Amino acid sequence: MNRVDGQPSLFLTRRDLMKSTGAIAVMRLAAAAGLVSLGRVGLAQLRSNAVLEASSLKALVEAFGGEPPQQSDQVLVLAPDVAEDGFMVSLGGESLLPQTESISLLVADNPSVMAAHFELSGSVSPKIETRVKTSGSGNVLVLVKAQGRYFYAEKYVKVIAGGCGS
Amino acid sequence: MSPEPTKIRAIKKGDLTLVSVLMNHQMDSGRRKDEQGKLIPAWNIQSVTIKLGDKVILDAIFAPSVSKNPYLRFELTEGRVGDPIEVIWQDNRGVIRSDSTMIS
Repeated sequence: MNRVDGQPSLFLTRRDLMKSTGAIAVMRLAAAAGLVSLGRVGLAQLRSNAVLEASSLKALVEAFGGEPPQQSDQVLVLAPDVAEDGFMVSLGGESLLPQTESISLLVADNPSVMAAHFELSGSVSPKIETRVKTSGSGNVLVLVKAQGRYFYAEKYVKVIAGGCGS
Repeated sequence: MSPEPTKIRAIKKGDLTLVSVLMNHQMDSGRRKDEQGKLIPAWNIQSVTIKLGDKVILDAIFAPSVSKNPYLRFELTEGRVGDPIEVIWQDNRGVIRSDSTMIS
């Protein structure tokens, strides 16, 4: 099942391990062995259901273990005013705050708000862009963690067609 | 279901390295239905790790609401021409895919 093409033996070993044991336990072992990065917060925590299933900004920040977020004009939402296709809406976030640790991209009306979360090292500019699915027109949000605190900004995007809700 | 390669572009521009990544993945949200009205199970990339040489520069968690064939764009404040950039993803079926390119 877990086919990996042309990978170094490191991956084959890990694949074999994952076949024989629980994947999560093995990912933790692999992480402990330094094979997989866990970032600053830790993938185990980030992958918790609370984070992936959070249905609001507030619930998401709680799931991250943070204090309630503040709206900030130092957080920029990179999204169009109008998107043609709800299955492919450009969404990015930029932070002008010093010591930005992470950027999360949210779609307010999706059943689970978080679309993507990025843990940044010091060598990545605090600006990242991707594409997300939306359930129609609505707000998108960028949540930033800087100096241990959470800040956000939001923007309304009008979606012409498609999306999960149609 | 052999995963297709990830396309990676890393271009040095002044002090910055511009990186764009296109992963090849269905990213089924688990909420879409097939022609018979049956839910198509979720199938999505869950985590992405990007490295410059041996150093992890970016760790990402993807929910199923990231679009099909996920795209990423960001800038690095370091890296020299010829340095390797590696993109590793893992999906909810346990598939791991790793690809790399050199900064040009």
